[in-house]
Amino acid sequence: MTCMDRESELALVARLRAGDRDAFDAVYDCFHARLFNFLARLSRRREVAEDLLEETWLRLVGRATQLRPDTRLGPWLFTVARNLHVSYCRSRLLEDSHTAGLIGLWPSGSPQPSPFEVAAAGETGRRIEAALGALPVSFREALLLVVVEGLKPAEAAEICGISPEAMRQRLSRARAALAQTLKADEPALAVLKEVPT
Amino acid sequence: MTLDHDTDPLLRSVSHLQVLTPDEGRAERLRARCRARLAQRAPANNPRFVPALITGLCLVYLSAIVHDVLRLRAGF
Repeated sequence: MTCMDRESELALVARLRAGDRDAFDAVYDCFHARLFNFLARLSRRREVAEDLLEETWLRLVGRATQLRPDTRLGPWLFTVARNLHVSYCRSRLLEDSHTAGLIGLWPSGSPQPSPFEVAAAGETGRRIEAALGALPVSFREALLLVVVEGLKPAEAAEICGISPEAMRQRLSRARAALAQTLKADEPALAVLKEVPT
Repeated sequence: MTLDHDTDPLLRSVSHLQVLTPDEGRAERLRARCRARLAQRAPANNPRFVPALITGLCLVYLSAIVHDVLRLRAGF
């Protein structure tokens, strides 16, 4: 999933290095929502995602003049966002498993999705969202970067600081874990369906 | 194993998850803040600005030396 070709990207990097605000707008429009989705699903907390997103953009602005001319903006931004999330987890000693049931991810700003959002999201989407949220962070970030954001496995590997081969293995395990989580969820879902209303 | 989310139904479902929307007000405030910060940084980091400033300071320094030399010579 890309919103600019390589030539446009290089031109934008050159303009960003010169402090061009319109170039910043173009990059912001292209990546803001994508970074938010990545951070929201990674942290599973809307407020945390918003804070980390803000810091990501401030980092870009702070280092715009020092960007390498051949910088790939997508991987650069996702690397910063991912590293900020890692730092956040370390600083707060956040345990994923302890927060899974408490967190609202949805864009209403409330901790629970509204009835409309629940209906709109669809059962399949909700189940996948829940299963994704239950995966370890390393699996979740791999799936988010490659499957949701459309980055190449080699780019995702660079972002996560691992080798491309390790990323391929991680993706494969993440997919298996996701399938297993969904399968484990099926009996519970079937029981719910059998309950008369 | 290579994953192909175009043909794998599970991965295709993941890639079609609902798009979450960031807070619009906050997004616009952040954009304005970043633009302002970028504008502040741009002139100081302009590669043509720094050499021009250094050249100007050198000229002032040299003219001060010339002025002092001429004044001393006039004194003798």
